[in-house]
Amino acid sequence: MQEKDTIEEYYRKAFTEFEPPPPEHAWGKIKDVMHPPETKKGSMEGLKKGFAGIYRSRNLFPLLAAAAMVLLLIMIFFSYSNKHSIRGHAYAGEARICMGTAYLFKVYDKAKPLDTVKLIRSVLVDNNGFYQFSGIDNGHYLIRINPLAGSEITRNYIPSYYNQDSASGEAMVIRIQNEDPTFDIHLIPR
Amino acid sequence: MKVSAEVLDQCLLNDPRGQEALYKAYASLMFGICLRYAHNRMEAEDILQEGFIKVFKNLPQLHSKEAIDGWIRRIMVNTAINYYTQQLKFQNEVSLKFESIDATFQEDALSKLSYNELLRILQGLPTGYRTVFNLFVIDGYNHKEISEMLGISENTSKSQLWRAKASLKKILTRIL
Repeated sequence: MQEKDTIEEYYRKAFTEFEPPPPEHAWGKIKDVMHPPETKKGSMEGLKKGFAGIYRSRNLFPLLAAAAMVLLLIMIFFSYSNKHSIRGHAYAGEARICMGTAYLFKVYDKAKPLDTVKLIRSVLVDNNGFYQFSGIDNGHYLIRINPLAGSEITRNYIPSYYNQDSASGEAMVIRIQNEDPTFDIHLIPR
Repeated sequence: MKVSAEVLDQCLLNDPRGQEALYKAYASLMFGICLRYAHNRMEAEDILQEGFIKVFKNLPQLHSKEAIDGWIRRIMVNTAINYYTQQLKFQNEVSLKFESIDATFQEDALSKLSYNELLRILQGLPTGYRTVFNLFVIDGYNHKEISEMLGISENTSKSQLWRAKASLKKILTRIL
């Protein structure tokens, strides 16, 4: 015997007691919403409990790591706060030079500057003759200016150290001690 | 009632053991409802999770523990409807003449279709058709109740049901 059935009746029959297996991970997600894990929360309460848990467990590694990080940041801050800058203008006669290069040499033995200097930085001199070295430690230095190669100035002036303008003797060693000094440099005429 | 009064008491105290017991007792039946109202399995899972969270949070409002079965079912259906609220678009049709859609198939022909196939066909219907078909045909709400739940007229509810059945007939005729 072949019975007839309507769509409506068939769907009603099929789905009235339809009980497919639920997704496996669903309960975990619901539980996380209803009972959020404390350590996952960014609240101060969670933070306090986290520290209390570390103390109780006597596992001080995370605490020590955090302390070391803070110490490192403090050291970086202070090391940068001890840095200085040296700036000034370069002159050819009475006029400031247009373009060139400024060199900074570290002097390790003040008594023998020429034997113990080391180039540590070079910067461009701008078209107003200005130069600046930043982030410089306390210590002894030499500064030299080279005018732009091939320029008119190179025909009349030679590369020169600070305070060589009036005398052709040894370059003057400058001392940086908790200050940001200005040194204007006058090129030596040929 | 699928759980004991003790389990409900634990849930009222926000005890995860009670909540897990309640979830395990009702999850399959509720997931079946979610699958019928959803477009796909992923959305059904979202509705299931949202529905159970509502159940646990609103449990103190349940007046009678014996009414828990229908209460959870209503929450799940309402959650599913709300999930698709933005997508529900109904045409107001006040003078539509509903012709009979008593399409008939050989019983053994329809029974060849698996649950998954029937579900896929149902999920493929537009949200409005599917929602009204589910509410009226399977969950047993009448057009007046549906009109109140969805904020539509009774005639619109009837027309959506008619269109849902017409769509199902068209699809099933093609398949069988």
